[in-house]
Amino acid sequence: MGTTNELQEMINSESLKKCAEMEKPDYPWPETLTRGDWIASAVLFAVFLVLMFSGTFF
Amino acid sequence: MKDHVNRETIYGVLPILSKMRQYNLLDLIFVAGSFGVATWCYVQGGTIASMVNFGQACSSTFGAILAFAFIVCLTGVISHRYGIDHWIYQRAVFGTRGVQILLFLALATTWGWYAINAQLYAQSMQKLAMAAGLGLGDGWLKPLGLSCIIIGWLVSLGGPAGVGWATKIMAPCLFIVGLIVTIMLFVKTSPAEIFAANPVGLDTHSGDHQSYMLVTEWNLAFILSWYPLIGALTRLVKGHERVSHWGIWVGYGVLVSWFILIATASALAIGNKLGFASSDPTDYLLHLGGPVFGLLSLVLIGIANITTQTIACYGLSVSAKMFNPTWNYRILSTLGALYVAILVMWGGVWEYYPVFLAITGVVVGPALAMIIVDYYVIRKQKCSVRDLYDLENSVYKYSIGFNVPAIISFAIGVTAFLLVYDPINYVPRSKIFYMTTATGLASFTSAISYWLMSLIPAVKYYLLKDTREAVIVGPSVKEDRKLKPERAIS
Repeated sequence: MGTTNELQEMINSESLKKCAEMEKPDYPWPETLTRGDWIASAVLFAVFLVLMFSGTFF
Repeated sequence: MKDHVNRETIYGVLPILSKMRQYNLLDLIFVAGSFGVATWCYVQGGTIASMVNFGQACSSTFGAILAFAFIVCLTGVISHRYGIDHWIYQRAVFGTRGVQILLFLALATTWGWYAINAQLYAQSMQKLAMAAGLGLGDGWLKPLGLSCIIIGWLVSLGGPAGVGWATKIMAPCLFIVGLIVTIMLFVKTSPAEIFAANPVGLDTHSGDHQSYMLVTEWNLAFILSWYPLIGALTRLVKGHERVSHWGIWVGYGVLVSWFILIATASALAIGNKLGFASSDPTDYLLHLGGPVFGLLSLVLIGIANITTQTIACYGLSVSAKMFNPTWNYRILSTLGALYVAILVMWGGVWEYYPVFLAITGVVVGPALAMIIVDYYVIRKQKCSVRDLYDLENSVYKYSIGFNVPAIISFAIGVTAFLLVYDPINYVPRSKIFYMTTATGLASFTSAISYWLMSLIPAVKYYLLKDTREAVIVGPSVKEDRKLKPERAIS
């Protein structure tokens, strides 16, 4: 194992190589959340928020 | 040295490209569930049972946890997308130096959970020893707690593979305990009896409004407190982003709420017979399960406590590498284990549990809310991943390493928290607390103030330097938006 500075340099260089991979046009990005995911999340968030505040009635 | 760098990809802070990911949906649910569902759910459930009845507990626990788990999920999605720990992303939110202060605060508080974990392990083992005819007094609790930390730490040295194995053992253990408790609850009592039970130690059926909102505050702090660990998990997830989003929601949210409520029901059913609300599951597991199932549960809890410690050593050590990527994972894991050992020897986290929750809430609520606003609203799901790493030339250095508007917003959130809630005596200071809780208000004020500041043209210019000077990336970035090719690496 080399010195800390060499290691730091190698980690930095490796990080930047991986970042460069992500900058390529053909990088396989994961599929993003769909509109359905967002709507379902928003509805569930609202439902559980209402449930949270309704507890004082029990 | 190349091997070391390769290890950094898994143990450390390097981006993990999409083709190198390990976890699928089931893995993530297991790992996230194993993080969240541990015996501290019983501590939380026991504390809740002393304040409110079961109907109120259901409403507060399901409501607060399942609603606010989405904030945690959306943070996990950022890590999934770029294959980076969300602490790396937070360089864009708080600045390259600002994030280090936040990380220090978050890690210092989060390790407290593992002191609780070790304490519960010690109590389980003490009761098992007593059942085996060995009279271990309270003087043995701290050495037993330390043994949990040591075994968990040793397994964690195996990295993600060790964590994977640990969770595959731990998750079934915890589910079996949950199942035993649920069955025993139905055998020894009835749902009607549980719903009819008064909060333990109270003469009235319902906890008052203040008690209910205090419980809700603690539930909020509980679910958001997993903030330091999210990115370490979801950056390892392969495939569609919804795997991270829903995997975290089910693994953290659904499973954690379920276990807290099992604990609350047990504490209400048994606590009223015992005459006190115990936050120690071993007290009522023996009453509920009898000698056979009670002792089996204690064994399973012991195993689960050890694997929880393993997962903490991995996740928190990876997060700590943000300070310096050259730090060795195994040394960080060792230092973390030593810190928990000190907390166990001190004993204060266990004794002042609500204070511990308050300290957690005041740090993590504003930070999480600001990450969401920063990435999804202000940056519109784009950032320069290279500038998150290239610290010398980073556009995220802002002002000597601090994002000033973000620091101001964070301070606004903390101030709001302290104005409505006294974290030392855990009592509300203002009627606003009854409408928002302290963590909810702190998160909201930080998020809103940060967003409002970003609407000021000069602040927007300051925050969005990446879109002008760096190569922004993300699935939604069109090729013509990738700017400044002169900074690109060929």
